[in-house]
Amino acid sequence: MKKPGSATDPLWYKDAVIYEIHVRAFADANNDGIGDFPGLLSRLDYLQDLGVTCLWLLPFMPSPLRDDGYDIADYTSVNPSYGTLADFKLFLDAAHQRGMQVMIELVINHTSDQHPWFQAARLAPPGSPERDMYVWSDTDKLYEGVRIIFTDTEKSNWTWDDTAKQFYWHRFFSHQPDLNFDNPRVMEEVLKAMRFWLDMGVDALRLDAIPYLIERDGTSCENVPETHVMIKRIREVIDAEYEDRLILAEANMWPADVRPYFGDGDECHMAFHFPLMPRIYMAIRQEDRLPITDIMAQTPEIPESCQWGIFLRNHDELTLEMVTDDERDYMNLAYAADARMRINVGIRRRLAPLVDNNRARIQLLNSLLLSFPGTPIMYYGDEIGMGDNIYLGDRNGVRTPMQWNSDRNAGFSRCDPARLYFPVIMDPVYGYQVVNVESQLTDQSSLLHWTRNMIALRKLFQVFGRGTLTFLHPENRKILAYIRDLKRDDGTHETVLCVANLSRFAQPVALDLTPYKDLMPVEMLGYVSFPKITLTPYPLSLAPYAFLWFELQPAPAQQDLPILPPDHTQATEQITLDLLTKGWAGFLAGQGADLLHKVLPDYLPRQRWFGAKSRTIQTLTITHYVELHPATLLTPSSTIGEAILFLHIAYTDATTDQYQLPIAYTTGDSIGQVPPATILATLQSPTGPAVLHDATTREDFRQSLLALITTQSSVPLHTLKAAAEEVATTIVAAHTDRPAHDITPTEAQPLTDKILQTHTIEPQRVDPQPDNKQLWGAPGHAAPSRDLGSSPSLSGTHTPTYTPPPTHPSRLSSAEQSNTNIFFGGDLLLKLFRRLQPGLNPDVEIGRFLTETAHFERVPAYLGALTLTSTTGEPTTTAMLQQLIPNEGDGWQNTLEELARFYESVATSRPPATPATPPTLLDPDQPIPEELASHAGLSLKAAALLGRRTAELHLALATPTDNPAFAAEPNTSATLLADAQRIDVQINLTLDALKAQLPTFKDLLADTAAQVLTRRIPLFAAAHSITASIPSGQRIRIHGDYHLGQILINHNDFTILDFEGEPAKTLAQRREKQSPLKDVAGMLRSFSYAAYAALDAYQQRHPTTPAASQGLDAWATLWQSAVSRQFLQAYRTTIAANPSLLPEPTQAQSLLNAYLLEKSLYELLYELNNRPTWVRIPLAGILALST
Amino acid sequence: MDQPLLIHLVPLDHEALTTLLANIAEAFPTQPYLVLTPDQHEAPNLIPYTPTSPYPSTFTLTAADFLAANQQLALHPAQAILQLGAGADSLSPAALAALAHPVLTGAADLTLPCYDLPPNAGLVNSAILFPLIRALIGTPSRFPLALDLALTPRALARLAATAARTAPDTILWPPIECAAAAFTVTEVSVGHRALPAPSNQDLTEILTLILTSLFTEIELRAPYWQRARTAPISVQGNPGASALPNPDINPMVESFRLAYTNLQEIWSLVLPAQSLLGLKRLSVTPATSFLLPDSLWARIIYDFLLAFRLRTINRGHLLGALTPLYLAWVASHLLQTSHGTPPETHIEATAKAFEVDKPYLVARWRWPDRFTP
Repeated sequence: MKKPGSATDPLWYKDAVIYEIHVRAFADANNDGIGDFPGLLSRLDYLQDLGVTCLWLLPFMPSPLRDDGYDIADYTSVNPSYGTLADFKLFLDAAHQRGMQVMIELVINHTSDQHPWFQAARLAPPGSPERDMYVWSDTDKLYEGVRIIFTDTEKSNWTWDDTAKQFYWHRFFSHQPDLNFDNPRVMEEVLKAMRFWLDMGVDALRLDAIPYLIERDGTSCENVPETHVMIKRIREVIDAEYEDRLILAEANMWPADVRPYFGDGDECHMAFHFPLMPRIYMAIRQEDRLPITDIMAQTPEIPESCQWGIFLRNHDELTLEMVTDDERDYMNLAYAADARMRINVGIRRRLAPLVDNNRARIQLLNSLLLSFPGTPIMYYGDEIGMGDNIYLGDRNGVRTPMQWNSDRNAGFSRCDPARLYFPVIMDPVYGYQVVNVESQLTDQSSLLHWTRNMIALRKLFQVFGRGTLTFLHPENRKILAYIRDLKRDDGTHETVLCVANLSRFAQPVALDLTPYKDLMPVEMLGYVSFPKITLTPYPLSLAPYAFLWFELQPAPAQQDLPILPPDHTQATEQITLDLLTKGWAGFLAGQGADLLHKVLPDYLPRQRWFGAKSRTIQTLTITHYVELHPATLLTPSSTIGEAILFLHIAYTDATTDQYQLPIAYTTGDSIGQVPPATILATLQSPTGPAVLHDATTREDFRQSLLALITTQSSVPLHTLKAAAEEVATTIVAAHTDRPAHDITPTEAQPLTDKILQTHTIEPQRVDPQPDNKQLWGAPGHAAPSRDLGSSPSLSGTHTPTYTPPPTHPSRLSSAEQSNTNIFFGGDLLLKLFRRLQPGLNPDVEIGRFLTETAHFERVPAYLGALTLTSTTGEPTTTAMLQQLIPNEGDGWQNTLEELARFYESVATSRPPATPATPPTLLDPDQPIPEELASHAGLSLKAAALLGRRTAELHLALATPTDNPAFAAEPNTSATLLADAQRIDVQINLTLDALKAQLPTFKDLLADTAAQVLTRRIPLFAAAHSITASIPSGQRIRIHGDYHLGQILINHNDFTILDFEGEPAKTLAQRREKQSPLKDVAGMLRSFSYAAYAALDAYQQRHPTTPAASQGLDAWATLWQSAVSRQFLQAYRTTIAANPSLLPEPTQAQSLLNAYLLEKSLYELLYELNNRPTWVRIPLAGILALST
Repeated sequence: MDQPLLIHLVPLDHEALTTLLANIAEAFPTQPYLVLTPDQHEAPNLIPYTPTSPYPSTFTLTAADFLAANQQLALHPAQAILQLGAGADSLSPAALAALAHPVLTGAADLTLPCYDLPPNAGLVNSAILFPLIRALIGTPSRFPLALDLALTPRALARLAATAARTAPDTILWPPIECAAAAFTVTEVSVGHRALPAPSNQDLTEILTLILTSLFTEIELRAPYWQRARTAPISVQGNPGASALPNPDINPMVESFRLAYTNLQEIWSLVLPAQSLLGLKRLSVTPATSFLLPDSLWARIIYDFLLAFRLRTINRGHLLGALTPLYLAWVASHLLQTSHGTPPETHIEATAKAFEVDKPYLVARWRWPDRFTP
């Protein structure tokens, strides 16, 4: 009869805590020295108290036990040493009664050579159904090249069978012949065995070694497509015949290779995440989070119903198959110094000995296990910190009897100690007299109690099993911080912040938690409330190996008012009254404008987005403003709306700028939510203090901006004069008891003039009976226009494909940028340009072209814009709405992290033997030097992909079009000469500045600078070499400011951002068409910067000797050269789709060199003025180009 | 036509049933309703039915009541269900109407009654059930174990689903169940009601019965109540109810003192040093000034709840060891009320103490280290 499983939720495995047990090792009830089911049954209460919810039993079927039971001789019975089938059923029912699920092994890749099927196969003639149950061959050359897994014991995957007179195939031990899944009978038998156990009520099956089910010549015989047909068949039967069951894949592969085993949710429910485990150990040893964040970045999304299985240790070795050679060496040296601790490609040790029995390290590792996405799997005995016995063979050192108490045989069995299947651990540190369940149960501070509490805590929060994972990127890499978030069915979120110190010393960290502003972290173990999250980085200090779990909860409503700088406090009730009674017009017509003129020169330079911090403001004028009215607001914090002020700023160096400044007025408790840095002034209001502040911090303002675009509506643009007229009109209307629209401009003119002169609004002085005739006769004053069709205004527009989204909560980006980025939900990004330049913004123009004309997908889709139309009709883009790209960080940060690992990796190596050669477009494709490839990690592949994406961008920008702003134009002698002359200017400007600063340089830097100064003539020659041949190739619109910081990483690919061009240039310059090679040069220079910036950072962390430093320099140069070459090779291959785009190869190379030179000179000038310590980077680039 | 209100009754004697039917008719002059009774009786809108299992209890509703009501709901689809327990004939027509109103109008999924009880009645509820449930789930539930409830069909279905997994005599906790399901729970004043006494008068047995059920429910709902935000709840009780003059608290105080001598060993397994010190002081306090601080009482209950969860000692022994402490609270309560503190004021103060100390429970629940203050 078919019995149901014990779970009622189909996704039960997502919330499970799995405990791995070997029946043989857990408890012996009949005292024969071997654990058994009655023994296990007697310990179920212990497991229930521990809090685990699913018991995973290693194979317990009849077996010769030459591979600890994974060599099965009968699929539908119980090894007599462990009990009977009835005993198993009793155990199963008892586990179910305690609410625990049971998972058993379905070892289907192979059987024991003692299995009746194999015995029959040997005797059966070739080609018979019996023989075909296994994989046979007359030669051991078939499937040649397939790797051997048990390298310590096996020399081949084939073994000769004298009886059968053929070789049989085995991926593991030679006594484990592989079943032949090309024979349908094998699957029938597998399903029969599976049904046998599932009918009994078993909840889950672990599919052992499934990548190896099918063999195909010419492949690695791993993960071949037919394997998935087999797994789908198994799943199909389970879904059709059973409810709430699970299959778990054992596929020791990279996450991307394991991904297919989930299928579309129609293969395995779960799979082990093998590569994570060694990287957790690596991270804690290296005190660096990179190994973990790196592997998680490579972990693909899996279907909604699927789950990763994660673990710290299990019955096998700590496998090092999924690491690089260097990483493997490192792990062996760090964790298995004694060769006896190693086996195959891994380390055969338990958790506690691996971390030197350090309690804090054990707890830290378990905290990661219990808080990472996936279902945690714990290995028996690790909850009490059991040790291992490296003198036992194979992996048996981690399979010793469970240590229950300090009695004979650790309470595992009452037999003669000599009868035990393996001796118990008896050393003075991990011996059963010291480490056992009984003593730890009586010790409230024991590891067992700690583990029990942590499991219980995890089970309280479904987010751990089902939530998303987002890493934070604090500067201190010894800190691993991440957010787990689960959106519940009712729309609310369960959000947990986890912070772990991977270092053996106390560490500080400041976390960017701005998306969680106003939430309160509540430490989860002690239920302790921490200070509320604000827009400023959230500081924490962590003790050595400490971890903190916080639930992010809404903060209590009570808020304190911020303490404001006294020089910005203005006790001006009149200003407040003007604002409250007459709106922003009243504010700006009255003393509000004076107040702003007074505070803004101090305020602006303190803002991140203000670009002229080094210049002195001479005059500041509010030229125009627009009002956003409360009608457009969602949750107004005050009864008046916000305004956007347009500022004209003149500097003492005779330059000018235009900026926009959104401004808001907030009172009451809401003041507590205004970041102090954004406050312009504090005002006195009749109801208490109020503040004037940057409106972008207000949700209602941000929604109003989005609403303007969504509804494609406009708001009128006013001048301060219009504000005065509006106020005057209102006052006259009030005092003449007439409607405002009846008041003519002439009528209000005297009062308008008075307001404009004095900036005071004093209604009591208005003559209630004005001389209408005289006023009406005054010429030359127009009323404020209400006709938006032709008037200056701020207007929203969107693309035809833009679908207004449901209301999304918005938040400000925390990134320090010259613009202000506003996120709406997870879909939209509004970029508010702070510094305004008349004309169409290239970011909007190019974004729109790439989206609507070229349909290029590797950029955020352009969705809409806010445009200011002045009296002259010239449009100015003030904001752009685009698709928000989910990402794992930008290219710059990612490359620096890659390089940090690179330098760590090469630090102990000799300097490279391969010389670095400058990459060129003329190179034939060259292989990567092997000595570099083994250290460089993913950066080489990434560079090639980036080269391809860059070329695709240029192909898209060259899309044929009637739009003159984008139509490609040929390079001409004139354009090339202009380029050369522009570079001439740059050479002179830069070298003059270099010469001026030469005396301040020291030693090597001075030598290099002097060398560069001697190259003035070759540099001019290099610049003018571009005019030497007949012009070819095309000029198109390009990115214009292309570097690694403009790239987002998403799903192992790139998205290209920010087409504004170089901010220092005029809009007209930025909109010029140029050779695409200019972007290429930008990126190559960015590689150079990354190489040296990361080297500097490394050397700050690890001060090196001059000799070692020189070696690292050589590695940096080689890395830069190889990465650049990969980039260029991919770029050249891809851009070939439009052969006319680039000039002929020699001219293309000259152009690229010239642009590289120009960029290096520009960088040098910048560094001379701003970061003298970085001067060496562009100097090296210039030298390389001039030799 | 609107679906009717289903009024589900437990067995009543003839006279009580007649009275109740008259009150129902008066309470719902325009609202269509059907009365389901296990008793044989004839009246308009009355449908007798045969219960599938005997009613195991009269002093509270149990799993069997909710199952029976839900079975009848399947036969007679209704807009809402009014579940009335033994002695419901003492509820006025206005009380019946008030109870049904929130669920009939869709304002709530569960309406709990707030009874006006005689002085010193229902003190187990006042000392433990009410403050504990209010602090943990934050719903108004002055009488969480009320005999009368109004429910929406979905609320009843949820309770019936839980009931189906338990024994018929299991006590359910409708406010916790509904709050955990994010249903709206409200409370209305229903005035006086005669409460049937439990058949078993042994205090320890009653405490053990009720608290075993409540503590188990709380353990089951830990993920919910640890996140539930509790807000101040308006008091529905009758603050003007006066206390009995000159209560004799000496037997209770003596019982506590005796237990202090005999049960110290058990209490020391459950309570932290600070609480034990408080009890020590109390044990030497004269009966005339016997005052168990509200905060100490809240922590005692929280620590017993925790010990129940951790199975620190046998659960029966554990709850048995609570009885003398409960008597100490009763003595303290009676003394305070006899000195002029309105009973509801003290009960409210007790509930507030439970709310204030909820973080103590959560912290200890999550990290049950004995090394606590």
